[in-house]
Amino acid sequence: MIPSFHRFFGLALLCLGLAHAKDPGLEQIGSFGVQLIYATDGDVSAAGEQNKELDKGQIEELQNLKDLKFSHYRILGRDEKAILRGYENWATPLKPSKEILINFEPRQKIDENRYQMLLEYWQGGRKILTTDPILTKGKSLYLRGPKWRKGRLILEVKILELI
Amino acid sequence: MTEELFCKWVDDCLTPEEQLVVDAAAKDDPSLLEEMASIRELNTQVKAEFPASIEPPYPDFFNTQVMNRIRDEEKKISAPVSSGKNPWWSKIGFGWVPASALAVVLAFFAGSRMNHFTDGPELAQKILPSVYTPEEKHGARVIADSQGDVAAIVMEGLDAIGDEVDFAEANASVALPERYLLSLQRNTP
Repeated sequence: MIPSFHRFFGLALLCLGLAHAKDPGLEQIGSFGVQLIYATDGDVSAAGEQNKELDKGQIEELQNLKDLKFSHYRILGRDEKAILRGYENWATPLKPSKEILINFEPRQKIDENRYQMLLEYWQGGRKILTTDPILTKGKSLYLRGPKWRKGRLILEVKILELI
Repeated sequence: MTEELFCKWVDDCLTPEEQLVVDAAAKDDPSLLEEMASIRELNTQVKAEFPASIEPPYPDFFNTQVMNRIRDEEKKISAPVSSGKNPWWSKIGFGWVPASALAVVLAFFAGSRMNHFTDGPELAQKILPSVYTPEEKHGARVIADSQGDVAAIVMEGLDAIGDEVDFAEANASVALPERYLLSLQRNTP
């Protein structure tokens, strides 16, 4: 027979352990990158003077896609967030502005390098698009966004890392 | 007393005539009262533990996928058969539609339950993503690359962002989604 003091002590320890147990859904299983690109056939300085140019490989990649073919591309902002095992997360590539948001959540692991994700594109506080692409680590998916300053905004989303 | 009558008794759905029959049976066999009480207690516990209905995750997206699949099946069924003979499955007609919808529902729930804990090599084939736009004025097209993977999604019908908007400044007029704020709270250590 276990003395009642020991039973009480054991129960208290168990409760303390449970209270401090980390939610497994918050475990980071990877990282997700979102980059906002300004694309135009006109004056690229309309987006601002200090924005960085895309690298040549990426420009070529974009120009091979008919609907995303422009003469100039500039990076307006980027964000990198954790992919959580059991929860959605949000990327805000235009910090501090929240005009454009990307919501993402892992849906299913396909293999070591691929995940099916649920993605949402939000603009001006409203949900515009939901999609469920299978993304390969390091491979970009482009979302052609709205017009802005005689050009287009393009979002590049990518799984940067899988743990 | 029949099983049906007993179930109605547990659920308090007896008619006055049926109540008389049950009262007489309970008088003859008091154990019936105990059994009824224990089943009612169990019902109460089950109702307390489980919600009466569960909303699927991403309900609008979910509903669209079900409707898309039904439309696809309808198109397949209504397509003319080239040979003179009707295949055996054509006799089933639209019986495929609810079966297909049910399959989608089950697959969705199975997928959301299994979530990240199982690998899915069967999905390793090239599958282009589904797209859903809640507002009718918006649309989206999926573009695949040469390997058959999704390369881009072209969103159409979007409101242009005003030229005066400067992204270097926070736009206080944008109402942030409640889920965004919840996520911030949850994910901040």
